[in-house]
Amino acid sequence: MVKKKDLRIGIIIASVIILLSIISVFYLPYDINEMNTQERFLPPSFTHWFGTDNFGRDIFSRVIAGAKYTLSVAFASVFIGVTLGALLGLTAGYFGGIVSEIVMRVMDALNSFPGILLSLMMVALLKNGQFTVILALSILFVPFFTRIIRSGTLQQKSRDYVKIAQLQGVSSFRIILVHIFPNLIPSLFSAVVIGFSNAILSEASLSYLGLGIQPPLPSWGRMLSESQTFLLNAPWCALAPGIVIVLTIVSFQLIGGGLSHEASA
Amino acid sequence: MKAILKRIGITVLTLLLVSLLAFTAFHILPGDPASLILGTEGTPEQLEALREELGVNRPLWQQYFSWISGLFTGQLGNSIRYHTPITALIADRLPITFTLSVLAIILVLIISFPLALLAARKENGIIDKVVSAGNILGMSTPDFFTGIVFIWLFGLVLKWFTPGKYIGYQENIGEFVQYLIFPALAIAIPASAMVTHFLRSSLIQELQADYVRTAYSRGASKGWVLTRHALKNAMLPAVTMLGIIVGSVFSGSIIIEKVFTIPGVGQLLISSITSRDLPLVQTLVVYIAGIVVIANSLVDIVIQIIDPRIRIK
Repeated sequence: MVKKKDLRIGIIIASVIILLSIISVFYLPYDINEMNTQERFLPPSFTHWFGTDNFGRDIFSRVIAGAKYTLSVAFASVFIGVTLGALLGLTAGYFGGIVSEIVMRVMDALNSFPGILLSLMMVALLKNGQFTVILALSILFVPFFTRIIRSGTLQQKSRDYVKIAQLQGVSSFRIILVHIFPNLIPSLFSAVVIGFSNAILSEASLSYLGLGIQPPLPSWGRMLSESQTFLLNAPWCALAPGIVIVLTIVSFQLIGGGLSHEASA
Repeated sequence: MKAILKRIGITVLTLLLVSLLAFTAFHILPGDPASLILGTEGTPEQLEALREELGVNRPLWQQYFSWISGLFTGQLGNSIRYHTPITALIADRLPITFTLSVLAIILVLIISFPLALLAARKENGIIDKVVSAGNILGMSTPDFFTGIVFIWLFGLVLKWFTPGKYIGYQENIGEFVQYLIFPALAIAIPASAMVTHFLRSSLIQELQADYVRTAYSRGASKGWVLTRHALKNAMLPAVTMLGIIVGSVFSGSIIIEKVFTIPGVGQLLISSITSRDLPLVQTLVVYIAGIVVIANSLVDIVIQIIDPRIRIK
């Protein structure tokens, strides 16, 4: 019961955020780069919902304009993570043996880099930019999805339908892709959504450290780090993007939790 | 004993893989670190001299082995940016990050155990629901945002501490620890949410057990059963999480050190990344990952000793 409500609240918040970020492509209340010295540090009001920043820029416009970069980076990195994870997990799970052993050991090693350390390493190695951020974040998800997909594959492998296909002489490639993988998709939904919320959190962290999405593109994490210098006079500059980050992550956490509950029920 | 030896074996193997991953990552790049450092202004002689200094003109396997032995002996050469030995740079900052992490772990225990016990007292009760909601919020709030809110609320509005006025442990150990309390709390919140969530479900599961019913039938109160019987059994799965907590606390401190301007290992890592001080980045990454790997296996071994039922796979 409770989980159903969680799922609904999560979907509502996430839809609003996604809708606003789509609208922001076509329409923004204010120009996000236009500086206006007369309107510096205005507190939240009806004309500027989230107030204005040190350059007199409208924070609401900047926050919803930033959403599409954060969301698209998160989407792309989870997508790459799932694709590579599926490739490795299906191979390791289906063939087993030494291949599986090597893949899983490397995944364990990757997994032992705590938190965003691996992403930081990637950023250090590559040039700053959106593509680097996507690559750096996707590497966080490869071990996560590889493990889930491998254990799913192991379960499916012993099912009769796979054995029958094997006896009929269907190629391993076809069994994996056409027979096993579609059966794993439902169990992946909640993992993908949880991964997505982790990706948003990690992207915000990288941007906060100045290593994520680069200026002049607006990004939530960087808005927070820039706001720190005038925190006392204009706390809304930090609170607005921060609360939006929290709401976005909460919504996807709720959806992910609700989905995994649905799947197990 | 055999299981413990096996765990140590796996740990060594993981550490080797971690170092190999980090090393290859920094060496498979097209382009040469010397020209990366000098930029376009470097003359061929300067480039050659720097390559010699970095040791990058030797075969890769030699570089790997000299680096690995350097990790143990501390002979890692100089940082490109600071021109001081890498080991000294890290040794200076390690006590700060270490204190911050230990404080955070203590806070995680102080916060999560009472909350989990309170929530488990009455499943789906009002306290349980509030704690669950708090858990989701705690897990979803980035630690750097919590840190910024703390600076604003406790530092600037309530003036409980002076943001940015970090005091070194060499100067005044008391004030040093005091300054670290709020940063440690910001790191501890997401980790506490994780532990609370986990401990609560394992407590509720334990409450279904036969021994709990027996305890009730002998007239034990709910609080007594929870703390004296169920907690002991519920704790073990929660202790296995300690490894994950160590990792999350360490990576949390990387960011929090920037929020509160604490000159620890995390700040060093970030500044070495922005200044492309690759030898320093490579070493820091492996040290941090190594500490987490070792902490993880220590936790596993301790659990194995406490409760032999749990087999190490």
